[in-house]
Amino acid sequence: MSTEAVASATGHYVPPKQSKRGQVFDSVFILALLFAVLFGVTYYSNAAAAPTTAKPKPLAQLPITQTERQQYQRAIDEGLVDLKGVNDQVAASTPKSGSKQYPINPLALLATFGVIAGYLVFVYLMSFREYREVIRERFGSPPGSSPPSDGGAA
Amino acid sequence: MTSVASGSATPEEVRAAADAHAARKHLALKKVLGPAHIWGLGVGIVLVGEYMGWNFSVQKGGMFGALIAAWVVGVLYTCVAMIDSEVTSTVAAAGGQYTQAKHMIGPLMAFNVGLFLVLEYTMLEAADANVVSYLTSTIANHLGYTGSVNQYAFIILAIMILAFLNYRGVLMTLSINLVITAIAAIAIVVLFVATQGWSPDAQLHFHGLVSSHDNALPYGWFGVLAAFQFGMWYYLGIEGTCQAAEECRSAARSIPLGTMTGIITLLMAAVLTWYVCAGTLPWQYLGVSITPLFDTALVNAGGAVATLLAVGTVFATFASANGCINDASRAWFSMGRDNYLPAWFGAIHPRYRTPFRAILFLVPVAIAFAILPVLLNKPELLATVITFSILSALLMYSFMVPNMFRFRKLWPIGVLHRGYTHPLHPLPAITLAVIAALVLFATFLGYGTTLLTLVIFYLLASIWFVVFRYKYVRRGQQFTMPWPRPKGY
Repeated sequence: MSTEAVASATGHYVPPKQSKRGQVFDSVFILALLFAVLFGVTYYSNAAAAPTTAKPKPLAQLPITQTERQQYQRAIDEGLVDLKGVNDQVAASTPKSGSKQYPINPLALLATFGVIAGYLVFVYLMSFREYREVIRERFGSPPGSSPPSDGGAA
Repeated sequence: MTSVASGSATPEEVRAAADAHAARKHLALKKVLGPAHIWGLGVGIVLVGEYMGWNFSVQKGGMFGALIAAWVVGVLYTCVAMIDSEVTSTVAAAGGQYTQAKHMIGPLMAFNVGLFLVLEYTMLEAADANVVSYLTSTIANHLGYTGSVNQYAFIILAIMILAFLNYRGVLMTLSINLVITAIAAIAIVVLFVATQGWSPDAQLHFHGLVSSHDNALPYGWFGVLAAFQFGMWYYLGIEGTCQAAEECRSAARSIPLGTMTGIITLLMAAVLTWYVCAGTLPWQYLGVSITPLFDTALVNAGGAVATLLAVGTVFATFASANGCINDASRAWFSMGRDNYLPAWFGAIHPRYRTPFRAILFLVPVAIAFAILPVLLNKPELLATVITFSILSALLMYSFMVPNMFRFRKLWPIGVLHRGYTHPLHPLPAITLAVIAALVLFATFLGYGTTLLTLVIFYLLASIWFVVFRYKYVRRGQQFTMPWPRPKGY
């Protein structure tokens, strides 16, 4: 699929040339990774809360302010929402007590930010290492240091 | 493309073919854009967020939660615009932040930033196309059509037509974006005038909000924090202006001017949008509405104004998808050009001078994620697709902080000619870091699994890049700017 990388006469890294088959494989791979991970998550995402099935209450009996009642009436008049929809929306937006509105699982929080931290550390450390190679090849070895024997090839 | 059979061609033909080949090898993107196009690109991508999406922050934190989110996240994006304006006015190359990462942080970070950009814009494009199909149904119903509209057809058509437009040339693409974005922006101002926004008690009613603390902040300050996630929607994508740097006649002038006027436009549009919607619709409805501005126009103005807002919604959605195709393809193309991805993607169309292969390759990705909520009959999955976009953007903003510090450290003021130097450094970078961390936490509150999965995707892709891909990359040639050696290296 590719020829081996070599160091040129100037000590610069000469990458192998990737074959067409290799290019197709890499394109398919990154696409497959994208779909496998992101599509999978989307597919298994939790569905929204089920709408209420009880008989809808009239606007006057819902726990909303007078202004909101008037605004809802106008929305109903314009066909934006029906009374059942209003009941569902008011029920769904009623605040839950204590920390139930936005519950936090400490383990999930630690795991998530642990993965993020690990990811960032990996990316930055590798990037800085690769960056030194780039600068060394582009500008030559820093003043006062001996040139690298491997031409900077990884 | 043209092949020469050595046995039959004359020397003149061989020379002509060789000249054509040399010309193709040096094909470059066309430098045809000015500040107005940059404004149209930046605001065009974002303005759809005013027409739909921002209001999910009302569901998270109530009406005042959404307003505070608009302000706080507005500060985040002002910092983004300031930093981008300085760096991009100096690094004028397609790929924007990707190219910045190559020159400031290193190849692996650049690969990640390239992916952040591609996913941010492709997922946004998918969400736009999904909304186009919903809008088509809604508008058809308002026009009296009682049958069902095939959403698949409209999603695929919208993406294909816009991809074709992008394929044909950047000047036409962004000129159209400029016009339809301007119309969509003017429509918001017209709605403000039509609802007599300067006189709060005339047609707008805020008593429901101020009469009770529970109505204004139903979930308390934690709700305000949770609202930050969808507060991003007011401005998400303004940093996309950088992608067009290589196609500007003068990037040093066009990028800062287009970006800064763009963020000013969006800050005003965000507040106007919140104001007219909050004074018209109950917050419980607003928090789940798909087209809040159109709904507001329908309830409070009707007639021609409602029609204008319907047109504005469609235009804003198309402008956003159009700009997203432009930006995602530039990022993908740039990575192909540098061999971070297969070199095949780094091609420029010989006639239209566009990154045509990158444009075409991303079409099925956008279509797949756009039709997913329809396919599974789960409209709420639109929010998940949007969250992929938001999170990718957030990860990129977190990169911009060390990027800015290193830019000033490696090439201090005076060493390079900067088209624009932002004031108060390092305050914008620190502010950006703090607010980005808050929004990341807010996203965890609502979409923790999505956040974790997306980071795992980027981690796996990074490992793949280091182990299998980086060997194809020429080290020194990644540094393309005519700059002196970075200080300390």
